[in-house]
Amino acid sequence: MRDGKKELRIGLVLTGIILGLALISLFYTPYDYNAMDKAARSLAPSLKHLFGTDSYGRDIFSRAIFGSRYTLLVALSTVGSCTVIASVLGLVSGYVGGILDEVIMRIIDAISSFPDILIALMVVTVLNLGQFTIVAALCITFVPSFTRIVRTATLQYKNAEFVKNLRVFGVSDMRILLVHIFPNTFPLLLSTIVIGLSNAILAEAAMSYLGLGIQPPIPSWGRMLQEAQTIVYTTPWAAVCPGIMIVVTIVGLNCIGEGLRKLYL
Amino acid sequence: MKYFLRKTLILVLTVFLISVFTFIAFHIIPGDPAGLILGTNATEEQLEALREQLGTNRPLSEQYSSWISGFVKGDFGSSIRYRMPVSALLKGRLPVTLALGLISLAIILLLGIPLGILAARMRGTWVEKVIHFLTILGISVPNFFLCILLMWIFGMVLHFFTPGEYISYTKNLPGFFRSLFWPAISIAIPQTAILTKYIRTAMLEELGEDYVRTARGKGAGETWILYLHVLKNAIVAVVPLIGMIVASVLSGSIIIEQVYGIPGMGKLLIGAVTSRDFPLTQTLVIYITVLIVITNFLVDIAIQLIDPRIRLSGKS
Repeated sequence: MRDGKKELRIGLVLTGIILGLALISLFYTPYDYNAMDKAARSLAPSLKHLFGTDSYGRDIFSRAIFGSRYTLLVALSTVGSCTVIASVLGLVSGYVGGILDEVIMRIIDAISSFPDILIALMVVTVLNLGQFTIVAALCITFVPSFTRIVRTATLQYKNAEFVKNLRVFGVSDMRILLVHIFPNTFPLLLSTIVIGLSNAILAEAAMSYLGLGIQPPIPSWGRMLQEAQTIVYTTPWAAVCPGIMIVVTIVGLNCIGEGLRKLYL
Repeated sequence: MKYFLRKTLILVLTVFLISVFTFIAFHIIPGDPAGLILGTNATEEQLEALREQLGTNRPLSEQYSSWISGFVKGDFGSSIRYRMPVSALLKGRLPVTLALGLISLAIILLLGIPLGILAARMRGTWVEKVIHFLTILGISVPNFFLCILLMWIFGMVLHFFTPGEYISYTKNLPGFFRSLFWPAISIAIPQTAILTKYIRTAMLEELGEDYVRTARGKGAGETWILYLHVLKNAIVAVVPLIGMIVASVLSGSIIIEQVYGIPGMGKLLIGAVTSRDFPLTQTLVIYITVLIVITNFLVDIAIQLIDPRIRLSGKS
């Protein structure tokens, strides 16, 4: 087996499990995620409640798989919007070069000298805390690294033989950039996107844990961990279940990213 | 020397940009700080008076220059929430966060380097596989989840420590360090995993170099090669990582202080964010970022001094 294929396979299986659960939860959860059953408070995991119930009598498994859609949605929209912004910045910066490149890259450098969590906290402070402020906050933290990757790839192809030929034929710069250079950045961009997704999920969980991400009543993994923390002695499963969901997702995505990098680069 | 000057210049420029960025971020917002402080039922005169006092009715560039000159002198403005100078708030909390960071850093280095060497040394055996598995797990576990697990298993079940107990350094110094030990472990584990992975890769890369083959050809033993030749070069390869580790440790402590209820800069920051205390958040953001930028600067200088390849090429 080629190096990297094994990682890719493990990653796809783990991520597949989480995605599968998230998809199932669109149509069916064992219990309503917010239903409080007074008779079933703080129950240990059993066949009736796979991961037990919390101190309000809510089914933890239902909450965890119901919450996954928001975590995944935040991660996808963060990485998606960030990819768009970074592609434009990286392509323009790399292709045009000169003073524009210098200005864009210095700003990017300055942004990336802030630790990610500080940028996210800053954005959350400045913008009013809405349901999806977190997307804007995380997007800004990821733009620098994505932009650098696209720019590096653009520089690599800017003076390639085939691009020079295209110029001789009078192909417009816009077309060269979008049709001929941009697709060549995909292999590099793809593994960055996958790693970006895993970072976004970790960051979202951290922000939701701090109460600054997804707002109640929507359950999210980070929030569930925060609620579970005070009752961890009596109901440890309330913390373990969402925690495991996060870890499985992150391991899965990291394996895919690593596998892709080894296979295609 | 030229290198040093250039680096210093970049450092100054970066710090300047950081201050401008943070300043702009906190001043382009819709919303009026005066309104935020006085609440909704303030009169227009009261608002106007406070704006005058805060200086928020002056042009942005003027506000920036007066703010930054105060900052350089150590006057960071006043916190809205605590109604006291930010510098007074920082005073007691900076040592806590620094101590937490240093303990974490020590754990990371003391665990990460030996584990990395062990993994490289036992390559191909089950020991390496176990370490590899643990590093993947360590990188993927969010530190606050780890924290909760540690609190539960070691705190509540095994009674190694009391969760949420914090001893002030002014009262009991050994107790202070003891109470920071478990939080530091939670911060350190993900970074230890990353460092282990790097050390292992760097050692394996070095083992494939020509000088190792020469040493083997001359009859040097495996231990001799590993510790005398390879480790030295692998460590040099890892020094640049220190800057990143310090940044992650400080970011980690922001969250972990919240989990364990440690009164450091991180807890202060989260409190400031949730109560939308702009002056306090702004100061803390700049403070922490500049701390990291300066660490990176020092690391760059250290690499320059340690690595003869870079040192010599810089001179020519």
